[in-house]
Amino acid sequence: MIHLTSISKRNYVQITILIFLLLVYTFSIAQEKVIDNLKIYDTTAVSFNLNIATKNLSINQDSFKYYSKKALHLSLKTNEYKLAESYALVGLSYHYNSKSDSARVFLNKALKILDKKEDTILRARIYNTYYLTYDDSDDTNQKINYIIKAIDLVKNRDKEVCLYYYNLGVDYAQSNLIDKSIEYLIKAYKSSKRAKNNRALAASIAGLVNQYRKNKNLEQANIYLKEGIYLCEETKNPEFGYMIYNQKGLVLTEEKKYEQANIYLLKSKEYAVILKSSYNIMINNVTLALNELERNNYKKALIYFEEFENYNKEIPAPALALTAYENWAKAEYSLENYKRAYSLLKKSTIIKDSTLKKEKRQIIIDTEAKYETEKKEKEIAQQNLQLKNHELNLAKKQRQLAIWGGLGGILALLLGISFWVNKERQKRKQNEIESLKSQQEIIRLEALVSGEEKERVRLAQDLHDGINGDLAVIKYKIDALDKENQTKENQKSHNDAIKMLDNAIDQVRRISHNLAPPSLHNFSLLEALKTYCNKVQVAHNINIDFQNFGNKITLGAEQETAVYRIIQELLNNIVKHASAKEALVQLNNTKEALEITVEDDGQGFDTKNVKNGIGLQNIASRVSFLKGDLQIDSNNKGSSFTIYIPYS
Amino acid sequence: MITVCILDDHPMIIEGLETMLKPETDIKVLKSFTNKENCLDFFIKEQPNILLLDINLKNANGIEICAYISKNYPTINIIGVSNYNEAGFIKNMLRNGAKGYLLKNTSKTELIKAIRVVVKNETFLPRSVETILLNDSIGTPTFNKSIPKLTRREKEVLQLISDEMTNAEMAKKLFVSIKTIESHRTNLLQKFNVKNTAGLIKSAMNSGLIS
Repeated sequence: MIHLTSISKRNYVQITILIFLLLVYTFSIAQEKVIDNLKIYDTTAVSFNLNIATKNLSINQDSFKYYSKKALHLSLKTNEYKLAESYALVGLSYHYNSKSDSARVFLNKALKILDKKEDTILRARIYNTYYLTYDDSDDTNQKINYIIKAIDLVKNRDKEVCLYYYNLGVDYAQSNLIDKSIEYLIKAYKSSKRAKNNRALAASIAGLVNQYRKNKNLEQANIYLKEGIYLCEETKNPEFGYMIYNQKGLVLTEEKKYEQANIYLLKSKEYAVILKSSYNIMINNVTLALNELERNNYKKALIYFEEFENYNKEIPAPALALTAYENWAKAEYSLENYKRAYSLLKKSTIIKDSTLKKEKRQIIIDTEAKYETEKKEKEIAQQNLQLKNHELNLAKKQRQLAIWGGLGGILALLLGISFWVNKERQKRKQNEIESLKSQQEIIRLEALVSGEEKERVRLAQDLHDGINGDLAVIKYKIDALDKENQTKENQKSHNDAIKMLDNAIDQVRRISHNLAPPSLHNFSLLEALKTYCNKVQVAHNINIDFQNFGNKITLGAEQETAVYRIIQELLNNIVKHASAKEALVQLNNTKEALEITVEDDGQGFDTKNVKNGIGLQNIASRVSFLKGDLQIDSNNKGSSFTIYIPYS
Repeated sequence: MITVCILDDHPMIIEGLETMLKPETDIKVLKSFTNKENCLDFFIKEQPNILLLDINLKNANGIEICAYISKNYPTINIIGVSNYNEAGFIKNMLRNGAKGYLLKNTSKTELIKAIRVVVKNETFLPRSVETILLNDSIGTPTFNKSIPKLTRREKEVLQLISDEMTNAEMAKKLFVSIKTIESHRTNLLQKFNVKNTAGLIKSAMNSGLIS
C-alpha cells in the first residue's frame, strides 16, 4: 500500500497545473475591455487569437501554438498591443511541445517588456510558466526559485496566488516533505476559498487529504474530505468528483474499509472516464487493483492491471507503472504465475533506476532558504541606501543639530507609533476579553469551587490539628507546673498565661472553622447550616430562623459546599449591612429542584448599585456553578434572595 | 485505682495529657495509642476504666470508634477530647456512648474531675461545652410558634389562596410552575401545623396574616 501515495503525485500534478493555467488566461482576457477605437480591427484580432489559443490549450496543442503565434504576429504589427501576453503564451506553447529552451526565450522577451511596463500579475504568471518549463529537468533549484518568486509577487492576490501555492505544495509533496506540503496546501486552500476558486479549492482539499493520509492523520483527512464531498455534491463537477472520491477511496482503504473504498474508487473512475483523462483512469485502475489485492481478489485485480497496461502503452506513466508492476507481480505470484511475476518485477526495476528522489528533496529545502536570505540581504541593502541618502540631506543643513533633531524625531515617532500600536493592541485585547468573559467565568468558577475550597480545607486542617494541637500541649505543660508553692505574683502570671492560651486556641479554632466548617465535612449540609445560623445568632444581635422542608438533600460535596458558602455570604451581608432584626433561611427540597430562600427585615439596598460588589459576585458565580437561578428583591422593608437549583 | 487509655494521633497531646495525670496517685495511664488498630488490639486483652478519645484521627473517625467500643466493651467509659466545639460533634459523641466531652484546651482540674465523674458511669460536660449545647437548642426551629415565619413568596401564595385562586391560576400570576405552587402549599400546611387549606386559612386569619 505504501506505493500508493506516490501515484497521485507527479503526472497528475502536471495535468492539474495545466488546467489551472487555462483558467487564468481566459479569465484575464475576458476582463480586457479597453479597445482603442482606431485600431479596433487589429487589437480585437490579437485578443481574438489569444482567446482561441487559450481555449485550445488543453484540447489541441497544435492549434494552441498556431493561434498564439498568430496573436504574437498581429501584436507586433499593431503597436505591440498585448505583446507581453502573446510572448508568454507562445512560450507556454513551446513548453507543451517539450521545447523548454525555446519556451524560455519567449518568456524572457515577455519579461523584458514587463521591465518597461510593469504588470505584476502577468509577471507572476510568466514565472509560473518558467516554473513549468523546469518540470522535466533536474534543475529543481531554478524551478522552485521561480514559483517562489511568483508567489512573492502576488502574495495579496488570492485569485492568482492560490494556484501557485498549490503548485508549490504539490512540489513539496513530490519530494515527500509532507509538513511543508501541508503548509502550502493550506495556504492554497485558504486563498482559493477567499478567491471563490472552486477548482483550486477542490484540488487543495484533495492534496491536503492525500498528505494527511500519508501522515496517518486520518481525522484531519476526514475533516477536509467532508468539505470536499460537499463541494462535489454542490457543483456536480466531474473533475472535482474524480479528485475527491479518489481520495475518499484511499482514506477508506487506509481505514481498512475496503468494500466502501471500492465504491468510491469506482465512482472516481466513472468521473475520470467522463473527463476522458487517460492518466486519471490509469490511477484509478491501479488503486482499484490494489484494493482488490487487499481483499485477496487476485483475478479481479489482474483485470484492472491489464486495463492500466493498455493505457500505459499509449501514454507512459513511469511512477504509476512502478507501483502497478510491483503489485501486479505480487498478484501473479499469488496465482502461481511465476514467470509472469518475474518479468513484471524486472520491468519495475528498470523504472526504479531512473528515478532520483532523494537529491531533489534536499535541493528544494536549500533553494527556499537561499531565496529567503537573498531577499533579506536585498532588503537590508536597500534600507542602508535609504539611510545614507537621508543622512546626506541632513548634512546639508545644520549638521549636528539636525542629527539630534532627526534622532529626536525618530524617537518621538517610534514612541508615538509604539504608543499607538499599544493602544490598538489594548483595544483588541479588550475586545478579546469581552468575548472570552463567559469562558473565563466558567474557569473562575471551577477554580473558586475546587481550588479555593481545597486550599481552605487544607489550611483549616493545618490550623486545627497542627497549631491548635501544639497550643493545647503548651497549655498542658504550663498547667502541670506546680503553682501552689509560688509567690502570688508568679501565680498570677501563671493564670494569665493559661487564659491567654485559651484565648489563642479559641481564635485559631474560629478561624479554622470559618475556613472550612467541620460539620459540613463530617455531617451534612443541614447540620452545618444549622450550626452556622446558630453561631451568627449567638454572635450578633439578630434572630435567624432556619427551616428545612422536603426530601433529604443529596448533592455532591462541591455542590453542598457551594450552597453553604452562598448562605454564609448572604448572612454575612445581612449582618454587616442590613441592620436587620430578623432573618429567615429556608431550604425547600423537591424532586425537581432545591429552592433556597434567605430573607431579612433590614433596610434593603439598591440592587443595581451593589450587584457588582465582591460579595454578591461571589454568590452569583457560585449560583451559576450550581447551574441555578438567583433572584434578588429588595426595598426599604427588607431583602429577599431566592435561589432555584433545578436537578435536571 | 482508675485505669486510663489515650487514643490521639498527636503524640505531643498524649504526652501532655499523661503529664497532667501523673501527679494523681489514684489515676494510672495504662497505655496510649496513636492509631485505632493498636488500640482495639489492646482492648481484646485488657480494658481500662476510661478512654480519652480524639475525634479527628488520621484514617479513622472518633465518632465511629466511640460507637464500636461502647457497644463491644461497655465497661470502658469514653470521654471525647477534641478541638471541635460545634454542637454536632458533641451531640454525636454523646449519642454514640461517650460519657464526657472535653475541648482539647481543657485544664488539669477539668480533666481530672471529668475522669472521676465518668468512671462512676455518670455524664460530665464542662461549662463551656454545656453552653455550646444550650445555644444550639435555642436556635433549633420550633414549629409551634404562634405566628410562623413565612417567606415573601409564601405570604403571596397564602393571600392568593384566600382569594380563592387555583394552583394553575397562581402559577400563571406568579410566573412559576404549578409544582412550585404545590410545594409552597405543602410547606404552608407544615408551618401552620394544619391538615388542609381550611385549617390554613383559619390559622392564618387568627394570626392576622390575612384578613
